[in-house]
Amino acid sequence: MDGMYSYVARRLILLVPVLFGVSLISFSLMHLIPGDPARAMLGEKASLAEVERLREELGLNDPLYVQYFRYVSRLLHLDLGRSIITHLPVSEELFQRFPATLELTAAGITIAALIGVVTGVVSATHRNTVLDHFARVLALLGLSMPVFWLGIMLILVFSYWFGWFPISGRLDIYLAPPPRVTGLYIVDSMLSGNMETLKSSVKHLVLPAIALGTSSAAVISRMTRSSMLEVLGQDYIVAARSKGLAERVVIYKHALRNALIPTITIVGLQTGALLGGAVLTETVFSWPGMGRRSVEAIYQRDFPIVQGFILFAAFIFVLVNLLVDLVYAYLDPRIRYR
Amino acid sequence: MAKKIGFSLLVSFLLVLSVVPGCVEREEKPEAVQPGTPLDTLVVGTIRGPVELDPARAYDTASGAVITQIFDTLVGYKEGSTELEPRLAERWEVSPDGTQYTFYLRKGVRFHDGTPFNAEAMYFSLKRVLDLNEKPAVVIRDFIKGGSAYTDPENPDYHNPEILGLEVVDEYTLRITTEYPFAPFLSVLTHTVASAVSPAAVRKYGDEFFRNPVGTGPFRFVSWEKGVDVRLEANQEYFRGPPKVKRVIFKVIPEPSVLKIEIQKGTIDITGTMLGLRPEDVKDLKDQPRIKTEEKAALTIAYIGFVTDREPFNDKRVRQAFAYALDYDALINKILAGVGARFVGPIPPNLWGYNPEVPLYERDLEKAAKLLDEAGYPADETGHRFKTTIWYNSDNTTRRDISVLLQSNLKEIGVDLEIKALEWGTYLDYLYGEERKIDTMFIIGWAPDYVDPDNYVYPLLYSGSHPPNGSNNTYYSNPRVDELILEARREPDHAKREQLYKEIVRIVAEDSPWIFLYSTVDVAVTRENVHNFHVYPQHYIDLYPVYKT
Repeated sequence: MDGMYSYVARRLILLVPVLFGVSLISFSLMHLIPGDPARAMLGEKASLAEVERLREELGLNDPLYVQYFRYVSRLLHLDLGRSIITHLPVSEELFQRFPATLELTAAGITIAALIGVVTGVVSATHRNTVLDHFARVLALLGLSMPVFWLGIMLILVFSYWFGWFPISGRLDIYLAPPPRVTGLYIVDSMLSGNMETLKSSVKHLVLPAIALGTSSAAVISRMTRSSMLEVLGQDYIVAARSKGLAERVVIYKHALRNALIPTITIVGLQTGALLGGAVLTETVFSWPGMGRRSVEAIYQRDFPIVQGFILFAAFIFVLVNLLVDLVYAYLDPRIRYR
Repeated sequence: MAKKIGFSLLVSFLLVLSVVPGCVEREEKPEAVQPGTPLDTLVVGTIRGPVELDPARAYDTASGAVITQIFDTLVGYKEGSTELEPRLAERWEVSPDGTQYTFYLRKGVRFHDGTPFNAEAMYFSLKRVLDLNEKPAVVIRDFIKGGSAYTDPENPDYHNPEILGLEVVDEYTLRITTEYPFAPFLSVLTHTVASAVSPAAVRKYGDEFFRNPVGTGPFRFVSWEKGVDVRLEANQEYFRGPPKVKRVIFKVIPEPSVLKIEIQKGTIDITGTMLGLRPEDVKDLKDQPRIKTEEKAALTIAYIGFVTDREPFNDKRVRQAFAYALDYDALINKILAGVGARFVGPIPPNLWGYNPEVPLYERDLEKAAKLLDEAGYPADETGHRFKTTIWYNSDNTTRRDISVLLQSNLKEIGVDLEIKALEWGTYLDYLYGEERKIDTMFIIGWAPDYVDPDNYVYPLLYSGSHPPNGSNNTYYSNPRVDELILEARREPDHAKREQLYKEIVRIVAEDSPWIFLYSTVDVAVTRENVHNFHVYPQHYIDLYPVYKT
């Protein structure tokens, strides 16, 4: 157990150089792309003097390394700066947006893992049967469907034609959001016991989560199938079967647990990536998450927002991966951290 | 076994899909018309939410749409038109030399927080614009006497209120002096930047006023969740009488095709091209039941600019040849799906000053070829003349389509066109930055800040407006046009001004610094039960008179 604590501590310390690197890269990229942020902010009608004044105000006239140094020293004080467009502190915007992204990702990944693992296992245990082919074609479709198209189709079919789900947003527009505790509407609704907002937020979450989860489901399904096939061919499975164990026990108790390790890796990676914000899904479903905001900020050359969001996304990504590594140990007792 | 797994697969699918059906019936509100939104609530669908709700800082149409509901200006527009009418000012007088405007203010008006509106409050609001000197300040700054000096940190009179042409005459009289006789000044005052803001609220909220806006307008601010929605409620004490609906919600729907689905489904009441709906979607919506559309020529224009001081476009014959090569029919009917009007000269056809006697450029390849021959660009044995480049901003698919159309049209007269796209921020830098980076041709548009021909010709064609000092991105320079522009903006007599602008249109059409593409047509799309929502040519959105049945 001690080994694990020091492992976690070491990994967390490693986070510092990672974040440092990320800050350097995001800073350089944002400052190296052509286009003057002052001009982008002021538009075509501003005079040169105004553009110049704003550049000065934003400190854009200083050499890059001075600007970077200033940025990092603020970071060390945990100050992410303020948006140059909305004047809001970056941390406030993050605080507003992240729960929406987290909620969507959690739902999307849950759906993806559920569908992915089940179809993967079915495919593997029914190798080369109709069921297997069907599941594999499904996975291929899921992977190749552009998410914005899928999103619009889901809206068209389930919202417009059937009217089962709302078209867009996180909550019915006539409802006030539940009192904010976590920012996750579902959790907050449960905490405040507000059934109306709970129902509404669950309903709003379904379609975007499916749209978001589909491509991940496909990846997970393919990974589960192949690793399951590999495990199923191993000696201990043969042994388990010859012991006379029920097929169900063989598959779910003996094979699946071992086959899940690569799957968990994929789930972890996908979660980490999605937590940075899913631009297209968020746009189609008017979901106020981080992805949409980051892209908007890139177009506006809103450095503080872009840099802050990237840094935060990287932080989350590393954290999720650490979590995944810890889950390995749980799944496979042979894995020990030192 | 297989069946069992198949079954569990099915169950998990259903589990995911069926979290819901039970709660569908809750959707219907008792007062709702089936299907749709409550009768006392207007839901406006827009692809962009506001950036700012402070009139002194906002300079984008999405913010303007909301600000107009919360705030009032001294002068407003008559319903659905570009004609001016008194708003917070009851009436006004202009001095004979055209530089002093005396406004007699409406009495008994209060801001949403109870603060009385008077000349002090208006003075405070206008001076605050200059104090902050944010983006939209450009609309009024240089016209108010002393405004430029007051906002220039290097000027000795920086932030010296004594020099400003703003004067409180008595409690309900405000006098504004302009820097020089400037005929369009009243239209300038309709811009949101010149809104009356509550001095008490500004003091209370300070830098946070932009998300706690307090004005005198028909609706008061309730809440704003960025990227989600803005909520307003009726101002029951509004000086023109309370609005007809109780609540307004601006709902942000960033994907245009979803905007279309929402209006079809009736989950929003109002949208339109000025709120981000695409022209091609308008076409589909026109024949839908329970949906109304209203079209009106708008004041935004689009053009292809030639950099007129560089070869080959320093020769007007080359520019004219290009203008004769374009297939205008394909432009208007195919690319714009009919939602656009042709024009010639720098002024849109629905604004006074436009000259209908000047003929439009029509596709004429023979004439185009002849002009190029004369200009010294004869075709070689393969029919080829020269190669040039057109630039546009990559997010604008209409401009991409126009570039491709022009490319194929020019090929027919032996000109190879290379198409280059830049992301918007970079594009602006290339066009208006200190260093000139585009020296051929480009596609751009122009939306006026105030409804007056001056706001087209002065920034876009006056020789003193060359970048980086202005928006004359074609580097056009014609001494005669310069003279006419200055004369027209100082002439107080409207009829004389109109003649001057007509003359400018004639000369510019001949000089052809642009290919005059189209002036936009705005289309409002509403549910059938929404009444009195009018399209204003200037992208202005007014929800005050709107009601539902």
